[in-house]
Amino acid sequence: MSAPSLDPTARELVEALAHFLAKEAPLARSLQASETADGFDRESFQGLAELGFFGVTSDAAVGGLELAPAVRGAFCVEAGRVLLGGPWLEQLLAAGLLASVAGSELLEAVVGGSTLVSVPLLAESWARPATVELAAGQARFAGGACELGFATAVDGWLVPARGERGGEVVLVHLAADADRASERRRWSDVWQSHEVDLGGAEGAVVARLDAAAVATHGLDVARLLACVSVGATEALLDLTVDFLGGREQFGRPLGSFQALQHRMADVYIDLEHTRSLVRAAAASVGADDEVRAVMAKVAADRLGVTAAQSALQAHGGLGFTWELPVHHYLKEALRRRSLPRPTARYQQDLRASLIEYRI
Amino acid sequence: METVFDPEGFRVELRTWLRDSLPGVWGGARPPVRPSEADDMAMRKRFDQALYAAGWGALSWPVAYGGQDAPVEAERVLAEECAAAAAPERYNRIGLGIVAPALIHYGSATQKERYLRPLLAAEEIWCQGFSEPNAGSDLASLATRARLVDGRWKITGQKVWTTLSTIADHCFLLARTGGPDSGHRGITAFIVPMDQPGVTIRPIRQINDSTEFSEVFFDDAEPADEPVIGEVDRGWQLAMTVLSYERSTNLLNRQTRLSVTVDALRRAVRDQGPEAPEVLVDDLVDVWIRSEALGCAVREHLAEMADGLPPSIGNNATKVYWSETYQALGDVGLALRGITTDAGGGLLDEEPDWYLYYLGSRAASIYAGTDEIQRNIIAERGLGLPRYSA
Repeated sequence: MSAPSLDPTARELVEALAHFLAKEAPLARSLQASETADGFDRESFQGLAELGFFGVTSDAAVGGLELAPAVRGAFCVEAGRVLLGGPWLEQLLAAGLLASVAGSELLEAVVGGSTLVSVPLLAESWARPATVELAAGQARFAGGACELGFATAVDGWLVPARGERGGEVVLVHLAADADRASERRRWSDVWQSHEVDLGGAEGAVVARLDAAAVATHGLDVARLLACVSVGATEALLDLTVDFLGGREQFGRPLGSFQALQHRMADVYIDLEHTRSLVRAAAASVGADDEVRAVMAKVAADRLGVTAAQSALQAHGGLGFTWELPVHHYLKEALRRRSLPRPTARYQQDLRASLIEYRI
Repeated sequence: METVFDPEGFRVELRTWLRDSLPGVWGGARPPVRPSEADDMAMRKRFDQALYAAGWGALSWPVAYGGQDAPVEAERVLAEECAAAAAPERYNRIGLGIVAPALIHYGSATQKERYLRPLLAAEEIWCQGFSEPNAGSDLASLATRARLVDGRWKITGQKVWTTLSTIADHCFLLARTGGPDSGHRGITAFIVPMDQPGVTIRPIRQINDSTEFSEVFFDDAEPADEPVIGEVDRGWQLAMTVLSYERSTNLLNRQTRLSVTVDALRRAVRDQGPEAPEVLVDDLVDVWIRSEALGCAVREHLAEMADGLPPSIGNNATKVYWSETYQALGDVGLALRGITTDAGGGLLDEEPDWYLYYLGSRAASIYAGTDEIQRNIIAERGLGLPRYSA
């Protein structure tokens, strides 16, 4: 669903993306692709790049669409609706991280989709980055490790690091190296990740980030994940309402029972308000409106999990099985809840800001 | 008002006006504690009159009826500034929220001419005769009868939970004009003067000792001249339409008031930060998030209204979300009030009176269509789930 505040051009783009995703990248396709060596569907990934997905807010000079952050949020809502697989969020974040670098060929390649890169989603990797020796624009990792989505399928990695003498965080571009990556136990059915051993790896420093930039990067991840939760819940509610309208017990549709009607109404009520909050949060970037971004993440995490639980219950025994896709929505909601930091950490932030009244 | 509305300019103007006018409305300094019901009503009345005199009584109404033809955005600015300045709520709120829209959309030219200006000026107060002892949520089963006797309507029956009836000049009343089983197809909207022998009012003592609403008995009561709003037997659709608009405009006031109270409680907790139990602070964080989400949703609803769209099902959802947030706020405020500090004082000795706030908030999930009715509407009309009778 496109936000009412989007202008007609942006709305058209969002609708085009929705149409593309429904046709070329439905959940079934992502699930199928997750069984392949890459773990995702390269063809639909290229299609996304052609639609401008990765460069939605980037400058036109690098092939971007130069649109408002709200549109990027609306794109993520659509990706959430189909539980889109693959390193799309990583690629989108990479474009954001490289945005400040003038004349970046890498940025152009990321926006255009000719180079696929992964970045660590966990805030931990950014808060305590690995140590590197810096010399002449090159960095050599002394040690350390991080989790990277689809580390062996992408072309390169963008890893935050810090020089031995401290200072700013630098972003190091490493060529993907399968020997450094070991696949982690997978709980998600559309996203795979690897533990990457960084010791001895060498690459070019492509950007420098001050403390504020690192902090705001985390907020952007939170905003986009909140958008994904909204889209996923919209799709799951549609799916569940369809199921309840069709399945009969006691000689009438399950959806005519008030206990289930009210349960679905509660999901809708929560969705409606979380969506408004998330849309408002997604209209800002960086440090702006920090509290709202954190609130949106907390509310969206809660929505994602409780709505999935309600949907699972409404589907009865079928919801507990691989016969129907409901369980994927629950698993993805749980994954988002742990990224980039566990929800409880954001709740602690809100408690602290309430007591200190920093806002 | 200029043709291009300047919300921030209006905000500045309004803020100055409120600063200058409110002492007169309050009858002195800003009331330090929750005023008595009588004082509150007196303040409300003065505030309605002051707004009318300033030309701001009904910003978005057509100019012809005393409005400014201003965009909905202006109503939002007004609601926010009034809430922030602790202005009283509106006195003639039933008239403004329900009766005026009904008259503007369905009334005759004579009715508009006769009733709208005195309503806006708070010279004539309105109550709303909808609910009955056996027709609460199931409003379409109402039994109060209106029959024509020698060309004059006569009304007999009982209404209940009738807010403002003790001070009202007129009642906007739904009565049955069709057969007993005519359901929603046999209901008509009437204007009935309250000051007449056929009308008896019996105040009801509420949970919070307020007697804001009453039972009202009609015994061959006579409606006004030209008493029918809209058409005979077509009052149901009129009432539902008007209620849906009322819901969306009321939500704006409710949300802004709630937001101001949440902010005040946050300030109180910050000042006593270390003394406040963490579990209650976490509850307050939840209410704070909900209050923000509520504000964002109401802004989206208003944007839809400004685009000329009819109130969406989202407004029904917001009614439920608001009442749950309001009640949760009452709960956490009251719980915090019970905490004494090491210094021996109470954590929250200040306004509002959280006990009364808590009790008052219990009504929110019942009035304006119970939360259960809203869920039925959301499930069946919003989500398209099959009706129970299917």
